[in-house]
Amino acid sequence: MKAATYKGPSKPYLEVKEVPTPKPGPGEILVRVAATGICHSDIHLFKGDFGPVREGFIPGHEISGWVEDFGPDVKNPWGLRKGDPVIVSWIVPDGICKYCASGKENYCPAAAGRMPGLVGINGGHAEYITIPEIAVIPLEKGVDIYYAAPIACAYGTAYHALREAGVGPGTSLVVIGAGGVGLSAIQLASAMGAYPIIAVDIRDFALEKAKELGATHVINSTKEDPISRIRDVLPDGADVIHEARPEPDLKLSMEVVARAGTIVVTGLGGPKSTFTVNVLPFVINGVRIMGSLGYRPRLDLPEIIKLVASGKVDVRKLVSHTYVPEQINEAYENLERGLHARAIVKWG
Amino acid sequence: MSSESFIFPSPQWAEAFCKALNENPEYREAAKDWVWDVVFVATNVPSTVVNAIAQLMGLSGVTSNAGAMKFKLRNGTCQGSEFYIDASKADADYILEADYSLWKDLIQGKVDPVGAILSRKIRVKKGSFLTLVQFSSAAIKMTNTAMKVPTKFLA
Repeated sequence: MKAATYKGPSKPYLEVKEVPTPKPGPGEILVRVAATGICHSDIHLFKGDFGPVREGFIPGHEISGWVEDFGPDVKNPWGLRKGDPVIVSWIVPDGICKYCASGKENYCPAAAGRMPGLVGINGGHAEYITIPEIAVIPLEKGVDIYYAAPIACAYGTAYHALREAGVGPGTSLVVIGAGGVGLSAIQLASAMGAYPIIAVDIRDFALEKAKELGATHVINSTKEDPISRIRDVLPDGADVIHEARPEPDLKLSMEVVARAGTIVVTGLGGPKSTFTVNVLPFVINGVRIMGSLGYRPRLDLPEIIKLVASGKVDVRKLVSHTYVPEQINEAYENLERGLHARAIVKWG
Repeated sequence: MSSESFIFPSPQWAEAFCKALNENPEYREAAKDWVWDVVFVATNVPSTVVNAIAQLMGLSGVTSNAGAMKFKLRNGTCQGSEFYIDASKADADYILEADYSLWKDLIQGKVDPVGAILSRKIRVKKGSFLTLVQFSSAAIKMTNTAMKVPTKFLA
């Protein structure tokens, strides 16, 4: 099969070549890949921020496709059949630990050691992928399978963060960083009834996309003072701030968060990234600061898929660029240049 | 300090406050690292006050009910003041806005400035809230100074 394999930390990061098609092992499903997303986390991976990556590793953790085959001992709780459209979660929980039992399967210790395309398991930048069945989630009919790939990362990460932060009807929201996750958050929050929704970024085209996806106000922080602009709209601050930029620092967030408000961080930062918080306003304003990793595959992803199937969230609006596998290095180059809202590679 | 009293807010009051800040060593010490211009905006200024200030300034047809005073504050000194009968014309690194009645209470010592900022009765329209909080001692000394300015409230 055709696959994009890791070469090393200097560009081009990947090489597209023929590799053996994997066979599903016990409890695994073979998925024929339709599309994979181009995600900023991959850049961290390529640069070794998550640890050393072996040459030949297949990245790609935002995956949609069709069920191709089942390995032995598959329990198939969703009743999947060959040819069914699915998305593949990059969080692969064991399903039995205390975290999974308490609905926090994104923090399952077993999942930390096997993230397809990121840690341990080959990912989806290929024509096929084998994956433990717990990570395979059915798509609803009518959902475009190619444009559904970002549900498995950008939308999932944004949705879980918004839910954890308590976003609902009437929640005032500021999203800092209108990349894939930030834009997904804006679109989902709009569908969830948040208002107003303020997007902050340094790229005009990203802010245009933010408006298209539901931002009520957009601020280019290189051209306007974001603190005073946000305070003009929200004199008492925002109920929720979503720090979705790759290098979160909480500086703007702490300036504009409302009393008893929440700052939720999904940007991963680099291995040495830190932030500092002024203690007095943090305490007396009762600010809640939380990190949010990914999503709960069996809980969050089906809910997002319902939102998409109902027409409340149009995933086609998020994707700004589509590539063929041979263009995958160009796709990452463009990602690093900040040109994408979200990009996908079509494999099938 | 002379026995003359000044209408708040007015160009004369701003000038007297600036002078009083320069005469206060406690403020100088507390604000020694402050290097930004500040605008204080008073909203909902009663029309009797607006009319009196307009008359004082020789203006007519004033419709704004929000006035502003700008202070050029550097390292514990006040290097000048400006008065704007229309607050929308005033700009600075920091813009702090509150109702006329809140400023009045503050100058009369009925309100704690730090509490007013933290509770957002004084709204930080522009500038870093977090930096401002670090200068809470200077804010208190500043308020203490304002209380010493002979002030006339027309409403």
